[in-house]
Amino acid sequence: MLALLVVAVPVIAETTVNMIGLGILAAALLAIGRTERLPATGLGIALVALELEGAWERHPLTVQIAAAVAGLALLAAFELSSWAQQLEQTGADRAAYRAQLRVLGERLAIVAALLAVLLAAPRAIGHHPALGIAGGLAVIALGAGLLWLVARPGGRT
Amino acid sequence: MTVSLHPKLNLYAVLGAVGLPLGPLLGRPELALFGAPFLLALLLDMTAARPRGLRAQIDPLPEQLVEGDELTVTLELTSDVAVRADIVLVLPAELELREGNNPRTVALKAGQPERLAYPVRCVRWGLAEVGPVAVRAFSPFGLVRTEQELAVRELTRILPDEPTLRELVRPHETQLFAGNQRARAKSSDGIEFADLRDYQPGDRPRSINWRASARRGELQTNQRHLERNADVTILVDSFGNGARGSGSTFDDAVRAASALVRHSVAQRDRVGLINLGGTVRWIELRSGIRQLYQIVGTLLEAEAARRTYGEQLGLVPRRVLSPGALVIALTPLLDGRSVDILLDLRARGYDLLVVEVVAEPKLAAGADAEAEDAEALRLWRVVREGLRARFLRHGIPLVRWQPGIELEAALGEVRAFRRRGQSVRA
Repeated sequence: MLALLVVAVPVIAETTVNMIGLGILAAALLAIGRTERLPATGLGIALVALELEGAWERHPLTVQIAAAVAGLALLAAFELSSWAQQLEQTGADRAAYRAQLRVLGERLAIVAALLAVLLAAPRAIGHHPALGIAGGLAVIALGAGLLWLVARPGGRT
Repeated sequence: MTVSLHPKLNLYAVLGAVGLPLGPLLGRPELALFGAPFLLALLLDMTAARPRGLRAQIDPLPEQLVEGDELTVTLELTSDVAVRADIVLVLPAELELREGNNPRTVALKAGQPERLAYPVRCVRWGLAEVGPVAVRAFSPFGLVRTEQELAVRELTRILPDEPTLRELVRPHETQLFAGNQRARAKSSDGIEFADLRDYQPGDRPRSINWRASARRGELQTNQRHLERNADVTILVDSFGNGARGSGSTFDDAVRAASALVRHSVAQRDRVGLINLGGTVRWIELRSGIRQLYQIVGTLLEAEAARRTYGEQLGLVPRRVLSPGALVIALTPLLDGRSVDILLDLRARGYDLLVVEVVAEPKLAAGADAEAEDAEALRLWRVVREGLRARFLRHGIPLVRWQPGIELEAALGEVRAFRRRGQSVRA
């Protein structure tokens, strides 16, 4: 539902035949791919990015905010989807539901806050490549972290 | 402890790794902002604390239960960090979860024990071992999972739900001593008073009944029942195991054996057990409540013995059976080896009674198979009848104990059989 909203908002903002076609295709790919089929989901997300570009091409700040919100909403959609899948396999009591919801909410709030910083910092600093450097560092940190997780004793993917 | 990564991690990594560097390079910061949430989620999960000090404990279970009993197994879990986890408590086949989920998801708080209740019902006799506990803990976004097995175990014995038994078949030969309803003529030393008789040289002075002697004017001696009355050996055949109702012939044979042993012990008989499995196992004849528990314990372990297959099956050793012992065999008569053993016992002169725990043949379904199934069933029944006739020819009383028929009623047929004098002394 959340993913559909992400797909629909740019179409509503800029309703053209191309945008509607893109929206339908993106929604279908996201629905098929979910969190299991990486190629389909990846393609769907690329189409969403194209939608965002198409809808707010002439408004840089709007497209950036929309992209950040869309990314956050898609993350939340994926998390809720995988949580629902897990609940199909294992039951949970009311306390566990509440605790998981609270933890998920907290983590999404942290991600949103960091996104806000990422959105505002380059403007305050006035140096756009800073985002690229930060991104590169984050990717290196991510790669190192994954390698550490896989290489440590007992670790496997 | 095993660390594993959720498949969605690949998606998040690709989105983050592509978007963040590509955006600034193409002059499109929105691409970086679009992928940033996924990368941030990944970083947050990888840096989240993982449980390393998970502890589990199962509350002690009752030492003994009976089939059909209900109880609550309580598991206490303690974690060093707050974490969401899937918990699997391994329950044996003898215990069935009545309500709730297993596995179940719980939220553990740091340092606070969480008690999980599992209401269960004892559905089958046996030695039931609860545990171990498998825990799969998730990072907040569920990208990193740590799995570990906590080696906690609790053991309980589930005793068979025994069929009601008021009277057992009388053995042809009791011991030389007087008993209760099986008394023949003689009595001897024991605890319970049996009769008075004239004093004879050699009688112990303590057995003289002074009051009766004073009344009669001559010395009278007390006679007492001996502790034991008759020898009963229960033979459980676990070679063949056929379907029977919701369980198996072996399940019911153990239930019946337990009832027979309990009844015999209450009658102050000496009771022994022979378990025909992969190998012949036995418990020598003894009386008393300790023997009852030993035999029931052996019966509970009989399931494991049933799965072991010996190469060559020897005949039942003579020392396991006393001369004149009543041997009650509980068998589905599905295996030729047990048939040979039973006939051998009869040939050796034992007072043998066979309770056939009747199996229900399961036939293949399907329209094509129906005619063949009917023929096969007919042939099977003919063979079974032939086998039963073979036992009767040898003077072995054989009763069929079918589902829905009380064991008491089946044994009643044997009593009638004996009254008609159809038994043959070997």
